[in-house]
Amino acid sequence: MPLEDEDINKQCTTLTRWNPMFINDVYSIVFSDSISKEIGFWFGHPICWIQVVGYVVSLDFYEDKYVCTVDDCTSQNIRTVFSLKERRSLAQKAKRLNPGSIVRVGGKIQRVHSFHLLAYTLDLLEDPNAEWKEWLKRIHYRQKLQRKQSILKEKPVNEKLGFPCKSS
Amino acid sequence: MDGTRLVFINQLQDCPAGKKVRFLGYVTAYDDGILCLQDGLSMVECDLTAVLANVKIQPREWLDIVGRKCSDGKIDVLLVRSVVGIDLPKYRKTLQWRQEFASEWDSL
Repeated sequence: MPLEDEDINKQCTTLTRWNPMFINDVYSIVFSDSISKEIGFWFGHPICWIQVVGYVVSLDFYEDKYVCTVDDCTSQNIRTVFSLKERRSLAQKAKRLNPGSIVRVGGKIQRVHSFHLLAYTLDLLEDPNAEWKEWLKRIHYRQKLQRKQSILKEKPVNEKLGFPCKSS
Repeated sequence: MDGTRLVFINQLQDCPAGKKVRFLGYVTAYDDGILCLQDGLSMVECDLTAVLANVKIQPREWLDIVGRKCSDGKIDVLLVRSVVGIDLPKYRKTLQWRQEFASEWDSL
């Protein structure tokens, strides 16, 4: 079943926006290689772009990549990968991070060799109030998608896309 | 790598020894590498030996601590960060909500 990008983006706004998530929820995303390697499902919503916030546990460098492990205290860490080859200036920014810094990293999940977030954006959150505001954002977003999931369950499967979506 | 548990100081007693914890507290005393932090009526002693060279401590400053709980209840500090300017009532409320939701999510 061919998927037209325009159709899928129109029906599923979660695909084209940053999805603010807690790290333990990132690990609960369900991927199906039959649909796409990059698109996973969370509460029935297709998502691709993810944003996490937490403190830097460690920063390592190997194979032309900076790997920053981020912990948001939801019982799991995540490795965020900054490629010197693909996004040099972003990787140079990551190089200057210190353990304990509070960061917001946005990117896509990659599952080749290991489960990690391939970083596309990096923000250092220096305002002491920034982090708890990001927690609130995540709680509200999670609740919103959970509520919408129960509405989606009542809709029939969209023939073109293969899953229920808002205009089914 | 084990994850960190985000708590209030009065919840540290419920954390097992060896657990990595994170919490806020304000400085009531600092002497010879041992920091006393308080939040409300609860206090905890933190050993700053591992980070001593990098740390400047001001009395009554609010700090964000990541450390490991020792068997004697003290915290071996791994990371310390000043959070001067934090909106404490909003932080506390948000952390409470976070903990309530976390227990709901875990039970699902």
